Amino acid sequence: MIRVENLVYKYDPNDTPVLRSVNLEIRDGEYVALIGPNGCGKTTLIKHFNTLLSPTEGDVWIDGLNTKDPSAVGEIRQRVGMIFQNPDNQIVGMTVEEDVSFGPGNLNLPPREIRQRVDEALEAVGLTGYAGRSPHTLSGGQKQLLAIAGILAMMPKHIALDEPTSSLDPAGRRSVAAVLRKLNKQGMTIIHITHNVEEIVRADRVIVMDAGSILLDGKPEQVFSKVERLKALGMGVPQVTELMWRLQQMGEKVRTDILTVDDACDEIAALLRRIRKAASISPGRQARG
Amino acid sequence: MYKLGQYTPGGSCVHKMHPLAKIIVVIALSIIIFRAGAFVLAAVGGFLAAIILLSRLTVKYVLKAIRPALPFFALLFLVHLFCTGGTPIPPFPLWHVSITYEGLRQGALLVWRFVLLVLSASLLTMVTSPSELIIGMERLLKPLRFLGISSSDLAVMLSLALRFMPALLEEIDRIREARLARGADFNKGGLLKRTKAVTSLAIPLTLNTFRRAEELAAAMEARGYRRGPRTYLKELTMAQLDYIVIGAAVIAGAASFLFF
Repeated sequence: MIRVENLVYKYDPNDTPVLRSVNLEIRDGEYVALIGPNGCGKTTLIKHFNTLLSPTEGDVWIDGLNTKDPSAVGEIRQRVGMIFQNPDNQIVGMTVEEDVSFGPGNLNLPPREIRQRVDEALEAVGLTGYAGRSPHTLSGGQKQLLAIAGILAMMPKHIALDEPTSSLDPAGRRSVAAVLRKLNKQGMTIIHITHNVEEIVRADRVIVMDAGSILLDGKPEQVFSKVERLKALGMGVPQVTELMWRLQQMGEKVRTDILTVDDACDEIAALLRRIRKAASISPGRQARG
Repeated sequence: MYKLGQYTPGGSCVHKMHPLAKIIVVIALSIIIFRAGAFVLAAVGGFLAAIILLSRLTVKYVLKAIRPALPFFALLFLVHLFCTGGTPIPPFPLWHVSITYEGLRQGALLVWRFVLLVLSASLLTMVTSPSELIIGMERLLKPLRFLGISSSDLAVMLSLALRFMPALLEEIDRIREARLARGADFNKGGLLKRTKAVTSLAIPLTLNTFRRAEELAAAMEARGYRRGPRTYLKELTMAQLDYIVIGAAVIAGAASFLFF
């Protein structure tokens, strides 16, 4: 479990804080999408999960370990894996398998165990046939999968990802999303920063941040139904959600907590049925239909 | 692009030797090459030829490694040929120019030395993968810890440098193309102007490299990197043959250093 208590962070003591008293609890095995405009503090927040940053005020607890405790740093970094936006800048090995072995090597594991972890990690992301390849010959999506394999070899309980798919093509994006879902099903906590609506919709929970604070926190349907607030932040909502919202603005009685075409279809069909029914009762409205 | 001494995978006994043994042999060879006379140099040539055969490389492929250095060898030879005093070879001296027997001999010997040196270094990289080479270097530099230098830190630095070489080349291409798209021309003007055009690539490249380094450092830290000893996927163990080879190389190198 990741627990954040009154977290304040300033890059410089005289600066305005990047995070202003954030409180948050992420349960084991949750799939959390963290969204918000650029500069809202998302990246700063997840860098606290793996002790890359230390709180100016407040505390961050990972499975009961305080990130301020220097003796816990090694353990925390093993528990929380971190993936960054640019896969090129997180690959350190000259071959795929050497790169995956970097983390276990840092843990000083014996070669036999490193080999086992490397093979398992490569299999988990579907890169088994690429073990001897040089990383710069891989596609963008494969490079990001390699970065994920490098983290998996550390056997973490939680993975925090900072816009891992923003530089990928649709195929690469899909393969990364599929691997993340699979890991989540196996019980891994996923904290995923993204601007991609499709990826947000699939999360268990969406957290919206703005100007260093958490603005909205809830299931995707709940969060996205606050269309006006999201629009005020300059953030997109799924097209079907916006459609339902516009219908509501026009005075129709429809739900706006709708994210999929199927649900929208049902809701609109129900609306049409109601209109037809009303029309058959009061013939005066027929002219409008 | 042909890369100097590019690694050629193989299963020969030379490939399988411990990288430390191979590095020590090359160091011993370099000492011998610079200390020894013509007879020993011929023997070293024979030794390298034997290694080429043992590692199942083709002579033609190995000789390619010398090609980029040929102009340098030619210059070296000519300088010695014309600038060494001694007995002139007839029909020289013509006007002020003279070629001497001593010059011919010295030039040939020096070029042969350099050929052997380049050959032994490229042979090493041809039969040893970069990561093995780094493990070998780490072992070789281990005694430096008495000076407070950690050889595993050096090994990580070295492997990162090798890993990011292609990435930096790509980066240069990208910056160059961006400049070209905005009307820069790298092939026009005098030498000075062209040099200036190239330095205009250096500044964005340096800045990008720093940014990259910062991200890389964060990613390495996130994967639990800390200074000091670490373990590797492939742990190489020394065989009896490796010890024998190292012993022979050390004795031969020390002998030529002390007695010739």
